[in-house]
Amino acid sequence: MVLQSKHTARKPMEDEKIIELYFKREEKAIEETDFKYRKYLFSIAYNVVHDRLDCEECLNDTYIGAWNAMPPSRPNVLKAFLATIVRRIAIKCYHSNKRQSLIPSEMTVSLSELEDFVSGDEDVGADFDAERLGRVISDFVRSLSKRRQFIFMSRYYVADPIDTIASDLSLSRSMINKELAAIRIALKEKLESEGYSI
Amino acid sequence: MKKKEWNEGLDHLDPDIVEKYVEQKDRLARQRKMSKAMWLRFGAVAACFVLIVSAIVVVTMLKGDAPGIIPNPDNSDRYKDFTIQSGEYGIVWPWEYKTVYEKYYSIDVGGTEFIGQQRELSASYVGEKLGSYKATGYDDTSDEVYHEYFDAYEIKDVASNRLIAVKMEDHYYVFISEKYNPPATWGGVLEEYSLPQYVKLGRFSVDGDGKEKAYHILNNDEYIWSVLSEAENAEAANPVGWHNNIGSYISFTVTSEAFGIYKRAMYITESGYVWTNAFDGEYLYYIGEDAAGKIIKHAKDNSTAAEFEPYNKTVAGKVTEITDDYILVDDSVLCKDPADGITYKVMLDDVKISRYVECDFVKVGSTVVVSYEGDIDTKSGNAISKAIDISEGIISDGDVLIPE
Repeated sequence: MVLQSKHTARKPMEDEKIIELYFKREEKAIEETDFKYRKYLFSIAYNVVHDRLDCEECLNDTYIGAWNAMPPSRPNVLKAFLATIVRRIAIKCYHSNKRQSLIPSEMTVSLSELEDFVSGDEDVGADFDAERLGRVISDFVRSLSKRRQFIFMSRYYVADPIDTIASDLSLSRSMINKELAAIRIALKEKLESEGYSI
Repeated sequence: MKKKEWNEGLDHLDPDIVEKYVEQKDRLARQRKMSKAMWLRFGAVAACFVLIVSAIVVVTMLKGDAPGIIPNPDNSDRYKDFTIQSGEYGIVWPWEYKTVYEKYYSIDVGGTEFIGQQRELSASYVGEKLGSYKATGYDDTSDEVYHEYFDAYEIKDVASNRLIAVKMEDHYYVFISEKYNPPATWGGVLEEYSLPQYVKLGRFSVDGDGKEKAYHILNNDEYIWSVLSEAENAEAANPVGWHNNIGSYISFTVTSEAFGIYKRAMYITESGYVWTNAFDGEYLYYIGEDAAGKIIKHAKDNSTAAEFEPYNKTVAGKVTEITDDYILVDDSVLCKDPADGITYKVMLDDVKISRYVECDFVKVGSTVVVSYEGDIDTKSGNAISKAIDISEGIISDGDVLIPE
């Protein structure tokens, strides 16, 4: 039998301590972030870009982004803060691919579900105001029940597969699909009422 | 709207929405972990080796050579050769049908989250009061979050950063710290949990678990605890991947009211490791081949042979009557001669069991498997006390389902 080498069990550092490391400009902050959140951040990136090498690059850029943001930013929820960064980077990577519609990722699938009002791989229009759209979507999300908020964020923010959402909520896949259909109808109405062309 | 515009809009979502989402996802993951842990407790003595393949799980072959399953050994050959499958109902209980410890599964004690072990603790184990703390409950049917304050207490001789007792509706329940943080040394485990005081090492198996394995009952555990105490400086090891090369070992069944655990496992391996899942996460320490060898030899030389014991006691059969106080379960459908059938009276004396009836999951004519922790009182019409779970049973003879 092969004897196992002994390793001392390692415990993830508390978020507050990791943030303190960023503020002290200690590179151990990145090591601890990677140890604690790598798997989670990788899954978000993979849902979007569907390529392990690209994911690695996204993660490295995320850690650099976190390093540059803290300080001055002091996040309330470090995991959410990192999720926002990795998503932004992964989305940038996704849209930089001219054949993005052919990327076999959950992001591609989730975008195709919105094709009634979201379509076209072109760049953004010159007069496009992302912050305003962000506020409109935020208002819309807040108008949903807690369960639908979770489903919306899972599917359209981090592009989780339907099965994952169903498992998270202990609901059937068909129930999640029904909920998503209802969300899309309400979302379309909201965007139309705010003047977004469909 | 273009896809890129949509995604840039999402990039500008208000941060609090993302924060709430991430927190909800974590909370749901914790709930799943909890329910999985509960499932494992119902699955096998050595929980780490349980493989959950599907929602339908073959629970047992109810044959005459399975002591413990059949409550009347005198008639142990009365059953047909068949398999009964227990299908999970997958029930999400409405808030009002949950017990108080199911409602409030989490309590925040000075910034540390403790998770309910879902088992009651006698008052004699309870030590000093720590304070009153906020517990959180989550109603899966409405998404409502509830909070309530409960008194938390030390468990005598157990570190209060590990396990505590929480008083709910005049009963005490064990809660365990949510943080996975094994003590740095085996001595820390012994000391922080007062392990020899609260765990009696008795039943053990050799090289695994299952009906085909050898079982023994230890005559006395003092020597083993003394050897384990001498290994106090053994350092924590990384359990990831360790099971792949576990080699030869003995596996003690670990039950402790003080820890709120039932039939967990503690392994001693010839390669010199002690491993346990008694505290939810895996604890692994290298005590050396010499110490492990002494323990294994002593255990084998100072024990008596025992028979396989299922994780839970169960009866199965068809529901023939339902009243406010009990349900009758007749197992004649399982017998070679239906005349040998026994009718059990499953007492509905706890919400954990009565809710199955009140919510119409159990009806007259249903085939059910009832798990229980109490006894069968043959003098009172085979009354079963402390039933803890009912699941739907599907009886099959070979590969053929028997039409009900």
